[in-house]
Amino acid sequence: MPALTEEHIKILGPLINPFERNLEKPPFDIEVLKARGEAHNNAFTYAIHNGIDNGLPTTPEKILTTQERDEYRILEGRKYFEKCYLWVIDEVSIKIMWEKTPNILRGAAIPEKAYVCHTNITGCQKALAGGEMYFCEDGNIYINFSSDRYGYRGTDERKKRVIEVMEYMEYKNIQLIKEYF
Amino acid sequence: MNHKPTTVFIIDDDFPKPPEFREKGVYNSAISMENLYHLAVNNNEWQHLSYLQQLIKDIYTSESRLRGEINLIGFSTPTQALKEIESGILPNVVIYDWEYLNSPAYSQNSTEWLLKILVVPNVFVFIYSNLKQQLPKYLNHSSFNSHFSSFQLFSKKGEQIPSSFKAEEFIFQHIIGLATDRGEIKINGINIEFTKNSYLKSASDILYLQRILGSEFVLDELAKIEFRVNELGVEKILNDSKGYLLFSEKKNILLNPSENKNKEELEPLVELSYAEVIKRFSISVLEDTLERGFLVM
Repeated sequence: MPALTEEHIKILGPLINPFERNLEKPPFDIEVLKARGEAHNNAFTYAIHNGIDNGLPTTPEKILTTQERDEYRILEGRKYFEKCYLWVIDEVSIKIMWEKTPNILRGAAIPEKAYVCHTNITGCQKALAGGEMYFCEDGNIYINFSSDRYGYRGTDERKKRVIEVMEYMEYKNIQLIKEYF
Repeated sequence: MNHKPTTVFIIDDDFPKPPEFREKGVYNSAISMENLYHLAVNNNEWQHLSYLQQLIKDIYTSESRLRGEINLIGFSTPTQALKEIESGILPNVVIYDWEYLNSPAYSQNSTEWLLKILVVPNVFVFIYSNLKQQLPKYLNHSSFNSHFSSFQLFSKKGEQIPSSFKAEEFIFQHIIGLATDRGEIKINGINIEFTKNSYLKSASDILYLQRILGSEFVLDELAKIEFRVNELGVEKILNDSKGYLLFSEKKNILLNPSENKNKEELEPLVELSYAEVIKRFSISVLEDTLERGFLVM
């Protein structure tokens, strides 16, 4: 599968640092993220899928059933942690990781959060966009742009372009989940 | 509150070993609380274990321990602790040294011992290691999947939990929190009187406040409430922040006020102060909403 083209990067750009679009947060400080176990990605290579090499996750128990989709009101914007993947598009491809992938270094700093976050995919490098994703048994991939690090709060037009880029790689039948920002 | 005392196991092969204790065979089985305290106050050979020395002193001299609410037991090896568990003495908290240098392949053994300890109902394990950065390869493993909320990792090198507690302060407040509704804890070495309240269920929830409001703000506010973290004190900190979320009763959605692109769709929106959000939902809901922009309840 092809990696992102220069044209894609131009359309989706600019590449941003974590939290760069989040004006309420203090400026990005990698030392803070390191201390919280949120800056490294080398421990998670086994868990990160990408849209050009190893494609979609195949673990059946992490596929969202239609019953769960409705019960947990995913399409209304509610979160179902057990089946939620995090996605990021960097300058090469889309990369995803199951959100409950254990991260004990993060748990050492934030006991309630012993799992990964978006910067554990990128290793704190720049990226174009990020959010959450569900692979549903109905054949759809449901996504949103909820990420305080790489999320996007803009128009549907731009979100549409992100979806087109995902579909250019291995991620097809993408449906945008309702968002309230 | 528990009527049974909170039982704390400390497992470490590096406790100081004065000759008189060796002769008495103190290290051959469970080490009593009195002997642990004796070692902590009469011995200067703790060196890299000084954090543990301080923790033992803090626990032993705490009001909770004096009231009989905490039972502290030491072990030189995990196998001794496992025997104690087999005999029916179940710990609530275990402070677990990862390194046993006399044991071949100790990381593998440590992993297996730890898994056996983690099956004790409701136990919480603090793992101490010199090799913190190397432990994920043992612990980020599927055999630990059902235990991730039951242990926490600390470095022996005396690091600090980001923003607030030193490691031993964090463990101390955890133990006090299990034993009693009210007690004295420490943040950055400062004594804080903590009382469980409708905003913070445990002292470590102060970490939420620091992440939401900023560490400096919270430390400044702690001085304003005279280091008494109780219902009124936390309410003052939250109200001083002037923070609020928007809430749509109709759609049952919480919204970060800065995320207002689709406000009309959600109207009528009411302002809920941070204090009201925590009382009505929880402090984790407040944090999640601020991070994600909105939260559908």
